[in-house]
Amino acid sequence: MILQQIRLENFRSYFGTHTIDLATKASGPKNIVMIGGLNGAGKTSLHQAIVMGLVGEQAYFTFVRDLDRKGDARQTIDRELNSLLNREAAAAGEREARVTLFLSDNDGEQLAVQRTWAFDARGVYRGKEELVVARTGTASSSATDDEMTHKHFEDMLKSYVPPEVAKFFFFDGEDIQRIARDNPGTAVGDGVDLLLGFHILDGLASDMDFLHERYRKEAHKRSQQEIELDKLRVVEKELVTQRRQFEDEQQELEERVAALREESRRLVEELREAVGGSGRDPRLVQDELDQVNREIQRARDSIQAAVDQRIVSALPGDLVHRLARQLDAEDARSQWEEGKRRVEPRRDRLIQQIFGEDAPQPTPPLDAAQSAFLQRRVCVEWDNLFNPPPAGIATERRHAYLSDEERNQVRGRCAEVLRFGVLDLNRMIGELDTLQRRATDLRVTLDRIGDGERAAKLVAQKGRIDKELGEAESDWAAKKRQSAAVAVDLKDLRKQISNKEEELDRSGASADRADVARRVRRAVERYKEELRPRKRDELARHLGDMYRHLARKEDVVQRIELDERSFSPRLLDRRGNSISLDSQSAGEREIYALALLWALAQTSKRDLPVVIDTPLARLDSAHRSNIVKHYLPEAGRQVIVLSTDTEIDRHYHELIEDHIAKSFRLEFNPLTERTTVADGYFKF
Amino acid sequence: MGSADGKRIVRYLPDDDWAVLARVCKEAGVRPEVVEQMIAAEGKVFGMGRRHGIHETLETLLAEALNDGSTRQDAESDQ
Repeated sequence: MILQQIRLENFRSYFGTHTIDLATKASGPKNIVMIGGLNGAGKTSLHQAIVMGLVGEQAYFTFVRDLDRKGDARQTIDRELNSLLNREAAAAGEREARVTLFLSDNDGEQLAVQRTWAFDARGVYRGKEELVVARTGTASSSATDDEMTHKHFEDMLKSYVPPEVAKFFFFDGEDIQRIARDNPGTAVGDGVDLLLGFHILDGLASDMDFLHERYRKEAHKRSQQEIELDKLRVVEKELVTQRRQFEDEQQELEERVAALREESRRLVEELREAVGGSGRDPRLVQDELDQVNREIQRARDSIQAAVDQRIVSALPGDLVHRLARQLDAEDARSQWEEGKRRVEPRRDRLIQQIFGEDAPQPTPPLDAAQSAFLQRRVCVEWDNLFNPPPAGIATERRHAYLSDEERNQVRGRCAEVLRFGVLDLNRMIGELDTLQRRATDLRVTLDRIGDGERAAKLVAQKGRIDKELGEAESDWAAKKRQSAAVAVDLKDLRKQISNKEEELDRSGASADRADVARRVRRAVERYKEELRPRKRDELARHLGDMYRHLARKEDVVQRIELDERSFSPRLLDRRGNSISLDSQSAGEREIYALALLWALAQTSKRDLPVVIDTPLARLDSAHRSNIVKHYLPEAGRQVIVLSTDTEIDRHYHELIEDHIAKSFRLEFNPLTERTTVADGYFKF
Repeated sequence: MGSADGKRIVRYLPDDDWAVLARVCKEAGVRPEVVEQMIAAEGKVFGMGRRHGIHETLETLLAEALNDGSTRQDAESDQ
């Protein structure tokens, strides 16, 4: 993989956007990118930007910096994260620091990897890193197409740069010193495990053990499940038998109910036959006949009453009418005569007032004859006041023998007769006829029933049958409920059996999977066993080769062997005697550490760029020359060296000049606190 | 996820390591392509606080290896 370009935006001392073209050719001698900078110029920031851009902040601190995020390490991490955003940018309101890397792999695939770290208004890291990876397809700097999800980004990047091996490719002088100061044997062991993926293989073996155990237990349950299944099947058989028994009983009851219903129906028919088709109880028929006879009697009485009490109705209608009118006329005459009679005292008082002794007399006075004459004339004229009599009054009172009350009764009867008419009588006679016919039918029915004894027996028998039928129907319904309950139980049980069978099927598959897991486990173990000596030999060869290149002639270590199991190095002198690393100088130990890093990187076969920050810090000039001459050109296909002017100085620069593809210079302005990037290394 | 025809789905291992894996897998009666996928899956979750979904992934691969029994039969016939 070649790092083509890096773009920094407000990252630490890099205010604004800075793009550095780091591309080197995939092959050829010019594989080194020299980046010079004085102390504090921004070399470490650039180194950090490259590594964090590739592996992310979490992997950077965990795998590259070996910080475990606890205690002081946590504080260091927080401090560094909170300083990612350029201070001037933060003051200007910027809230994001960003690094974009443009990469190309051996197949020519182009990737753009962009990580953004967000901060709050106080400049505190929000704890969220945004990653975007895009295949650019060509070596352009556009990172827009074919974007993927974050998980895919991480997975894809891990396939390019496994975080666990990153520290063997991206390191600085302090890392070298730390490895040299600590036990390099441990570093080898850890490094080999990481580089060869033994930890991954261990994880896989452990997971295979876990899955194998799980599958094995599942398979082990099989026999127990089979026993349980057998038990369930026994219960199933019992339930099937019970259900069959219930169904048989239900069938019997159904048949019994059907038979009783038929018997009941037959009895009804027989009873109907017995009672002449009426199907009725003769006692009830007799009661009804008695009732009809009473109604007939009442009807007859009514007709008789009508005939007796309304004899006038037998008269011609005209006579009844004339009688009624005569009575009305007589009443009118009586009223007229009563009126006359009521005013007769007034007539007598009038005559007395005219002809009485105290009445005034004419002159000459009337004689007796004249007075009598005039009195008769007054009486005649008084009568004339009431004559002729009013129209419609009777000329005589033919029915004077009737009292007023009797006259009113006769008049009421006449009115009734005139209203009643013949039709009503016919209706009454018709009703009587209907009743008589009904009575006749009832009598016929009773005659057909005969003595009623048989019918009574049939009725009693039907009562018993109906009772039995009710009980049988009740039993039948109960049996149906029982049968349905058993059917439900059976259904549930069969579901359990089905589940159990599925479990058994799975456990059957579990046995096979357990077998595959065991085989994978075995393959992984064999793979580790075969890989370890191969890698040990390879590592030892690389380590020895590089150490010999880097060491001075006077250095006593001539050969390095690695322990077969632990990979712990053993340093040997010219005579093959073991040499303690503790007895070596700091410079020799650093050379050893650097050789170790190189050997590990070579052994890992990861085609990654090597980025080294201040690699020569504590080495003497002889070791420095060897490193510059023999290590840097061989460190990788692409080697990015960040150095001060006192490390890779003019002399060393000349030593590797033929390998330098590009040079840059980082300059830091303390007034603006900004780093700028200029072409070319230091000017000597 | 896998390939029944023996083609490598992922190229997680260097070629010489792959050759070793292919040989030991054949001896063990499992498909090396599947095992390489398992190694890659483990590598993806290595170092993560949560190894979320790794067992499910491995189980899927195991089931896949199981469904294609040819490797095992081949291995048994070779032994």
